[in-house]
Amino acid sequence: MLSDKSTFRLLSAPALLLLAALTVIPILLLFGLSLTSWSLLVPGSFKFSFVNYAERMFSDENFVHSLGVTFYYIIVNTLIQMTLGFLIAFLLFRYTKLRFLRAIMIIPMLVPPAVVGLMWKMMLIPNLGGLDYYLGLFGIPAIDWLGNPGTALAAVTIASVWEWTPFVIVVMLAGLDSLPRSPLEAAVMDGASTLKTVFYVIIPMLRPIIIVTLLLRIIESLAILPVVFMMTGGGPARATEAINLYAYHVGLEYLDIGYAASILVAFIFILLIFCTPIILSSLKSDSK
Amino acid sequence: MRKTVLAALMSFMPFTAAHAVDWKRYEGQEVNMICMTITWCVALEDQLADFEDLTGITVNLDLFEESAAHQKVRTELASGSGAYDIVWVQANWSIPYAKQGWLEPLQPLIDNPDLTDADLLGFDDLMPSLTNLMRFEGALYGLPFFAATIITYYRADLLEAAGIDPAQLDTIEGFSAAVKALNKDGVAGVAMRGHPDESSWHQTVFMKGLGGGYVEDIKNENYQPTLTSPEAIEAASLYADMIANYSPDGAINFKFSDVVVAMQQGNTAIIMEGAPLGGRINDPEKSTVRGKLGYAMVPQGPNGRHPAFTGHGVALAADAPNQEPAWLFLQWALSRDLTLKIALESNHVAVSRNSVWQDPTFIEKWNLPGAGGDFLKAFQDSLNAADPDYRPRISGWGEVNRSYGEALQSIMLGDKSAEEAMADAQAKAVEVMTRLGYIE
Amino acid sequence: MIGVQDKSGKATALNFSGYAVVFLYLLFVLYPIFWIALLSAKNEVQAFADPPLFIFQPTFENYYNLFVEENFGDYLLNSIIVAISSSVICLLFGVPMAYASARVKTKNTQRILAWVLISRMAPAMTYVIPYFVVFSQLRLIDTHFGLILTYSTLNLPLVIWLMRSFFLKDSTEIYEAASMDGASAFQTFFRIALPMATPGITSTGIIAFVVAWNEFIFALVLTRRHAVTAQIGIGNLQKYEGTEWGQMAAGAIILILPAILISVFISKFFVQGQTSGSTKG
Repeated sequence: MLSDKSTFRLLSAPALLLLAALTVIPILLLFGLSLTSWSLLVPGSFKFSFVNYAERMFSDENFVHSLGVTFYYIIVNTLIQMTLGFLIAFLLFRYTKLRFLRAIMIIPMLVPPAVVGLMWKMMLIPNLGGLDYYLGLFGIPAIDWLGNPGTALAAVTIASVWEWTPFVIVVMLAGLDSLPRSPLEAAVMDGASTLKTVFYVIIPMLRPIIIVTLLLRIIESLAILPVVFMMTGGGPARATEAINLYAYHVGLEYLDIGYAASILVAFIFILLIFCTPIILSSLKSDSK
Repeated sequence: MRKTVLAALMSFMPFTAAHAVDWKRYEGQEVNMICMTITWCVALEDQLADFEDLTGITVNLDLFEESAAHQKVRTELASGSGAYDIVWVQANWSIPYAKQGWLEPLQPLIDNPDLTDADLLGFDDLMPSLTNLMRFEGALYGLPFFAATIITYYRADLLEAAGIDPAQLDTIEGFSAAVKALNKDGVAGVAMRGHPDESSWHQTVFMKGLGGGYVEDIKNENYQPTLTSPEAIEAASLYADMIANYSPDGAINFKFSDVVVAMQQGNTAIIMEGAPLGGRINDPEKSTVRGKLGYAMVPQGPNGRHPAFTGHGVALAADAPNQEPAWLFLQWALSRDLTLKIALESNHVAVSRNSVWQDPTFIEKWNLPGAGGDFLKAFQDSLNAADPDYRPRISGWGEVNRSYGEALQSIMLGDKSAEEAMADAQAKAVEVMTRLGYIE
Repeated sequence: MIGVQDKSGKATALNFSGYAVVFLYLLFVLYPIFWIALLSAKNEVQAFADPPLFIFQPTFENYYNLFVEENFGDYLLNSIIVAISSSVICLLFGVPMAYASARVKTKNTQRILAWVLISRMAPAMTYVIPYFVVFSQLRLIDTHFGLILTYSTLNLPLVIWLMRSFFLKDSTEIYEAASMDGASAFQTFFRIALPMATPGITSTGIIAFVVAWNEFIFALVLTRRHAVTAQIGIGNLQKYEGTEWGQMAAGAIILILPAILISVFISKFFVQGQTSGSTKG
């Protein structure tokens, strides 16, 4: 008969092997491919080369541009989602009568991203979406939302806020619900205003949860890809094309596999750059 | 002597009879085809039932919008999943695909009397200028179904009201002056394609007409990009100016269907568009301008007249699992009778067969109503004047084309001056050509 | 401030604006879905009417055409096949590991669990290019099997983490008692832990279904025609001769349905899935 220990190993082995095959191998392969100049359209291009990192990436304006869009998504989309999400979560927490709304609030994050993109695209098409009509009531002229770089970027942000703010709300609500009551009540007794209570009591107490949420939102900020794909395809003039969509175009449209792989490796490093300080600061506060 | 002749004939006849194509041979099989939503393929969809009746073969035809179809064809050929037996190939891509060994050479199939009915195929009747676009190193990799070039469509009534002589549209200078004069009272002066994937198709008229070019010398395969020449910059700013300032809203992202709709709806004075779209532009149900249009060749510049020319064809994927039934289908689909039938029943006018161009019923149907100029004449004159080598037909062109289109877009948006934008496009083009080994 | 609301005028005004913000947000969340639902029941003229129409003669033509003229039925079937298979397979592989990782609380377990989580966080695009290359060689492109396999990168970590949290809730005394009675670890797992985890397995399975149902990037790159899922199929409705907006809206509503049904079902349970239950790019 098997010992308990080997039983547990046996129970874990299939899942671990499957997951390793599906994640470790591809990532290693990705690193390997990034060191080639392999293009499926150029015969004999499967050669070891450092050119992607050494030259190509830094002289590639489209790459640099996509980095800018990436930072925009990471910073702007995440900040708006976090702020709005916290605000709504706080209000839902405070107005207990609105409890029933919690289930409705999570709908957007369950809606397929492709549908989110299509939906907002339709909303922004003149007449079809009706949005121009409402803006017109306030005297704002019709805007070709998806036709101009600035407004297209804003449109993607709106869709991302729609899709992902609920995630922040849900997590923040869970955090708020689990807060100990006594400090809050003490604050009220002291006559602190709502605003002061929020900033000096609630936010510090929620700090660990806020950090984790922020981390998750940053890591997934480029999960906006399907939405962008459906709304603008990355345009106009690449205005909404972040680094992962750029890698998609390079790798799967121009079949420039090696370069696309190196772009994705750069992407992984960017995520690390953004996430490491946050992780470190959260570790520091844990050890306090 | 007579006996030997007779004997020879006798021995020959059963031979031919035995080798007639057996159309029911692949009964019950399936053929999968991918194409863009181009007139012929759209019309072909309605004919598939007839082929199934004839052969018992089911054809599944998947249609996608142009850029999506390009990308799907390319990734499918590269990955060779066997999802498609027949793929749509634009002339830009026939050489790169064939070079990679992704397409099946057709000659062996044509030479196989078990699989090919030479009369039905009528190969010599296909326009040679088109079949040549489907060749690589002498071998044939596709059958053309579509002859594309662009012409000018203008609203004769609006021109007359503004006191503009249609003859003025014959030069680039006159054309752009007319565009500016006509842009008033809620009517846009012009609509052309602004989308980065498609703008070079139009822009060629100005680029080459003004004496510029995309690369040094296409005929001699000198692909050194020349996007910063004074002519190229002038052409870019001219084109961007027309789209940014004298076109309908959203024109910077217009693809061909948007241009067609802009004209159909009656609020655009001039469009430059594919001659093959004449039918749709005059669609009796959707068009408000039928009967009001004049037709002319695209304008000429100091360096002549340069309507772009390309062909679309269908090819067999190299890994296609159902190659033989697919080949039967191609012969049937491109046969003279079906080509004519489709041309008469649908919006497909850009036929690839000489005999159909001369067919009286074809001429009668496609003598589109007009208020100036003759549509078929403008189309055919353009085909004759058109330049199949307006851009290098190499794998890197897609990338160069896109970044050139994006540079044009950034001028339209006012983000960059024409000089800056063309310098960027040039740098990108040089990078691509160097990387792919076309230039040092 | 918690439930204790004072009656001063300032507080009332604050409350009022608080409710107004929630109301506006609710409008922002629900209006697009509501609008698309209306759109799906409009014909082309009604769809583009200015000002927008709220009261009109609804038509089900868009839904009908979606299935009769387009292949949307095939796409939906593919989505269902892939989503169900992926959920079931990931449960089969993941639940035993979740149980083991809940029982063995060592540093190594922690490390492995962290790795499982990180593998889930890597952007989908980083996996998809290697998959494209390898699957081309293995002829797995455009197959249900290939897609199901790739969806394991999304769902297996999800199952492991979610189910582990269920198993952690069981008191260890039950397992120890079973062990005292002479049950092997296997028997404890199958006879005691699994039956107790049934509700958790159901909920986890449903979340895994939604994740697979909603997936976009893998399906975009790894399918061609036989295995195309509804998420990709709906984009194919954007074609020339004018996009069929009505049909697209109808397709969108069909694809949203599981989300709406499930949002009600999982609302109370949702928080446990918070760290791993989202889609990726």
